[in-house]
Amino acid sequence: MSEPRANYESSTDIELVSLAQEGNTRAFDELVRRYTPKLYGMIYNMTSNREDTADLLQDVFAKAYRSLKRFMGRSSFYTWIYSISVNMTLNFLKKRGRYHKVSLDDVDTGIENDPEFIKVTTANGGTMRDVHVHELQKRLNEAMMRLSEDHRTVVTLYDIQGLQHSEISQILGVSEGTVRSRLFYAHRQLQNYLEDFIK
Amino acid sequence: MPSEDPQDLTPVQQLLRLRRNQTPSDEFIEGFLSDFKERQRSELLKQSARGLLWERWTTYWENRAAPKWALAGLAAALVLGLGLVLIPKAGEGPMGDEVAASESGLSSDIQADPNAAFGTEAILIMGMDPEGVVEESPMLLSRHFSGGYADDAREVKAVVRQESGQSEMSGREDEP
Repeated sequence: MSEPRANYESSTDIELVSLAQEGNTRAFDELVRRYTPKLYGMIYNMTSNREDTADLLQDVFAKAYRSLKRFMGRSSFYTWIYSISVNMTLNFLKKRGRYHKVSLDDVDTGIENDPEFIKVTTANGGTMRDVHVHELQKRLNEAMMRLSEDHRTVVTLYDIQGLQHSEISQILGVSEGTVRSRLFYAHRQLQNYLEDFIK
Repeated sequence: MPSEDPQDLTPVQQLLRLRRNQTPSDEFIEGFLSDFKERQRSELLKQSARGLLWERWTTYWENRAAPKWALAGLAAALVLGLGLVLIPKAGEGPMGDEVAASESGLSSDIQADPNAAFGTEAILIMGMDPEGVVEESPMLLSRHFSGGYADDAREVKAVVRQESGQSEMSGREDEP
């Protein structure tokens, strides 16, 4: 009755898309599994709210599923699904209003034990390590939410998601120069917001 | 990928990069997928009959080789057909009647009621007696040259005996 998931794990995106376009829902399920972690991170860093993130991600995949037959493969599925996510998230943020109160519930716990976090914080002479981790995370969240949506988007896609300038340019439909410029100003603003913590 | 060496990054970038580790667990992903499927099913049930019909219609055309051209052709044929049905032919509309009447020089009564012309003519034709006498007064060429007929209109009297027996019509014609 059901095909084993392993059949699809080794498939490429384009193979899965092709199968899903023919009506294979399991192929689409695999795409959902594959992109949920990345898109969840992207949307969460834009909205700073877990419930909104889960709801939005549902909407993103629902829209992608409905539009899948119109996906012609001119861009990669990766770029396509990211474009849908970014546009829907920006629309959501416009509706919600720019200012969103960041609660402590939004701050991740357990990051203080992350080896990479320890490495980064001790590399700066321990200045950051002295600061309470929750406070630092809270300040970073606040600083991110004070950025304009355009700036927050490029920071999220570049610094957090690890996308290339060219990929971001394609997703947002702007030039690479614009992406670099937005990144520069966003980093400078974040530096100003967090200057008490990062020296 | 952006530079991976932490030494090349500003402290802000290093902090931001930590967020890459904030990924949902496998349990979350499976739960999310299950919710997604459930939602799809419920949306399908909620969809109205009209919505389903529209979806089927669009899906049908999406699968065709040249749906846009086919739709465009269909639309053009519809517009042409409607045009032929709705646009009145020349002379059929109110303005057309006036133009046709004025060109033919008909009287205002006949312009107002074209059927009257046919009615009158029919009455005349039906009432005409084939045995009816048309009297013509003899015309002398000599009289014409002697000055006669110059000012006198030549009278042609045609007496039409109608069934009522009383109708008489007289007319004047120019001499050929």
